[in-house]
Amino acid sequence: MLYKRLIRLAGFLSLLLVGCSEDKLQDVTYLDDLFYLRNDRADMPVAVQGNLGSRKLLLFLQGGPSGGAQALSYARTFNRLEQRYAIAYWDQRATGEAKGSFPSTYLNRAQYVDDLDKLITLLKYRYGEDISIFLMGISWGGMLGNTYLIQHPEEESIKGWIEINGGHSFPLIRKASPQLVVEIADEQITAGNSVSEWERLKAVALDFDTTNTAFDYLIDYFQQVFDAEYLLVKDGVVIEEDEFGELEGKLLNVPFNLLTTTFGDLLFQANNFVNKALIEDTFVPDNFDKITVPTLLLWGAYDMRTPPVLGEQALEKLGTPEEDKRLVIFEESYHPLVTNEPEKFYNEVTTFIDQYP
Amino acid sequence: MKVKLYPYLFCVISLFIHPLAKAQLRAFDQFSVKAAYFGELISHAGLKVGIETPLRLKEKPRKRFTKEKYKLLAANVGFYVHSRNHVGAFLNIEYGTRGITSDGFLSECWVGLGYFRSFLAAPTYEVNDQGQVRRVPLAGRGSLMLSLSAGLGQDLSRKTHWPITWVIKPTLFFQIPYNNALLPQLGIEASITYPINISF
Repeated sequence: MLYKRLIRLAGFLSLLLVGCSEDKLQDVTYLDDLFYLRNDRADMPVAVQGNLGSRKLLLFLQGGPSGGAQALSYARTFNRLEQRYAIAYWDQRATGEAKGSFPSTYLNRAQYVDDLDKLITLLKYRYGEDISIFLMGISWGGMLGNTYLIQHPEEESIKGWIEINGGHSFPLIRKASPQLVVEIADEQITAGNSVSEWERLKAVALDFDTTNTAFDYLIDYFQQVFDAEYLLVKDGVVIEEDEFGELEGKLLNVPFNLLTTTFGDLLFQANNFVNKALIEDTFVPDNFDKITVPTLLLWGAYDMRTPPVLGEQALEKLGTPEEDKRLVIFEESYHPLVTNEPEKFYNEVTTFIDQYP
Repeated sequence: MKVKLYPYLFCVISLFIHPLAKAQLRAFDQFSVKAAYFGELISHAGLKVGIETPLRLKEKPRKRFTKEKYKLLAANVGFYVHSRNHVGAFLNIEYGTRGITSDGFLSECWVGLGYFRSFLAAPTYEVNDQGQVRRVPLAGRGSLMLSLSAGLGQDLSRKTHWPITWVIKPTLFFQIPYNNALLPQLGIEASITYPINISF
């Protein structure tokens, strides 16, 4: 049959690309690996790059869930980290280059935690049971990482947890975000920066109803927060370093497809499906004491999406011994902290990881 | 239930082309074969080959020239390689219109429907609830492929002895389903078409 022959031919071509790669790569010192995790009707790419000779692997949990993680493998600071450790860039379900076919009911926190659990098993299978895994989650990745650690205290391969501007509690975000917008607005008005715009944004924050749990209401409010972030960048209060210079001129020839990612975020709306169900959720703050792994909390002082008070809450409630948990406030950063203060980020992360075997 | 696509495809094409074998068609001698560069997002290279035939020809006299308008049917197979991502293979039928001036300049629009199969360009693993890992052979997924395209080109036979037509055609194609919705993708096709004789 022609149809079957075509399938075989294309399969053969893909085999040429994949090659006869080994399933287990414990003895490799420097990695430039790619594989897919198939779980519950999704195929999720995982690019693992960097120094596996360290036997330390940083598993990055992206925000959103949207956008994918692959582009980060081109960020300068992450390339520097790859000199010391291996880093796994995982495109979560319905984001980036993750493919599949499933109903929207699969877009929920429990499913993402299950995907992460399977991925950790697979990483140990591929790189060895002795590998030390450090989870690093930003924004939604903070919610995902914390939930995983609470539900899987038995997972001994996790040696540390780095939460960056984690969105682990929407009830606290709803309360703290408008307060921070007002504080920053007052600061900027006093400094004479974009005064009329900040006065408008202050009024929006003061009018925000913290008891309104409608997800669309919060999304509308966040549009104003994005305006506030734009002002901070425009007035030079925070600086966005060019972390992705290496990508220039390569966008048509990289493993990911920015159009796929952009279309995907619009069409799949993983962000909406997942977060809508968490708007009143307090599972993470209620169970922080079950997390006992060493934890580094990194927060931007100007982060109006996930204000630093969330980091303070985590620091206070985590079950991790005092000497193994730390909150670092980045005074010149907002939500994309890595691009605001990359040098400080690099130093904090390496100091933390190097403390632990 | 297994669906055997090839016999159906053959029947569909035959239904359209048989009555046309006797038609008077100038530029395309009943059938043409097409070979094309097919690039997903331009640079992820692939190949598309197919056969096309005119269903109908209308001549529209203009002030300075006569424009010929064709309705066309084509059947194609193709693939592209997106390195470190996936290989896409497809089989489709396209219906289109093509207008050609007496100078040979042409414009065309196509709509297509077919089957798309991706092959992941990396080892793929499944982990069961007991923590056992299994490698998935030939991992990828099948989907419906809907395509829309419009192109510009030239029929060289109008001014030379070469019976060749070239066309450059941006293509928007959709994989349905994809995740919890569908996925639109951009591609480009640069084709050369050559007339052949086939008798039924």
